[in-house]
Amino acid sequence: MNGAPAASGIVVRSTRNKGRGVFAVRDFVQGETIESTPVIFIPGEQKSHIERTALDLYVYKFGPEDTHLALPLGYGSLYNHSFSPNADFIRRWEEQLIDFVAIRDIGQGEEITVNYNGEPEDQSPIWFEVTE
Amino acid sequence: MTRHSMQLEVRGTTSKGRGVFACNAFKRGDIVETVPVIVIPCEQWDFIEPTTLEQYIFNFGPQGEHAAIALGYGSLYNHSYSPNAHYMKSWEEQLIRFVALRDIEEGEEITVNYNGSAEDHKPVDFDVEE
Repeated sequence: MNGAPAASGIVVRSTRNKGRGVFAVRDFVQGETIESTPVIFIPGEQKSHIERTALDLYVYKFGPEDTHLALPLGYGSLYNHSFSPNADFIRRWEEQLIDFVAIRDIGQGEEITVNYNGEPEDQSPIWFEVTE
Repeated sequence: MTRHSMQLEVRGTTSKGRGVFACNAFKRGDIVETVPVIVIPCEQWDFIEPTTLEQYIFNFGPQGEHAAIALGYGSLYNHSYSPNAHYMKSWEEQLIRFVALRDIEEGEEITVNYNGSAEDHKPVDFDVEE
């Protein structure tokens, strides 16, 4: 896929084997916020519905106790998982935002990835087979 | 305030929750934003309808038979019966394009008519404050 705005420094396009992904169209330095995305808030009691839809693959746990869900807008729903990610996500409950932040320098053209376990170093298995 | 595209920002409105605002001027016909979507097949609709996502859904598909959630800021444009933008869905590309219907000034809120066509004054499913 192409054509999404590049002005913000990132673009969405197809990956070889992981569907869509988010790519840097300029360099980012370690610590830089790549994107700060608004979210659609989904109260915890609606979880059982969401789990039965395509959105289950895209939602983040959200809330003070992680009891709710949030669907990130912007490109927040399209970052792929990696066990050696170059970015991290920071959930901001009060502001209903998720920040995606570079955890090392990222070069133009690189795919931007996060660890779906939450902590960049967390090597616990996730719910699908990972192709790095 | 959050910024995804450098040309747009999301912030609170006085009476309609969040909205999308122009950070620079757009000319009539300019693409304001092109957004990817998440497609929700029609057989999952029964599970979406009782959730907060229901109010964000676009009809999508060759016959509009499926649903889609617009990413980017596509889910946050407010409705107006005198909108300054409209949206064009592309099933093949799995995208929605938001296009300026008239010149838009820096700082203006960008709105679309949720009925799909800019002139369509059919009621929408909430009270409209212009």
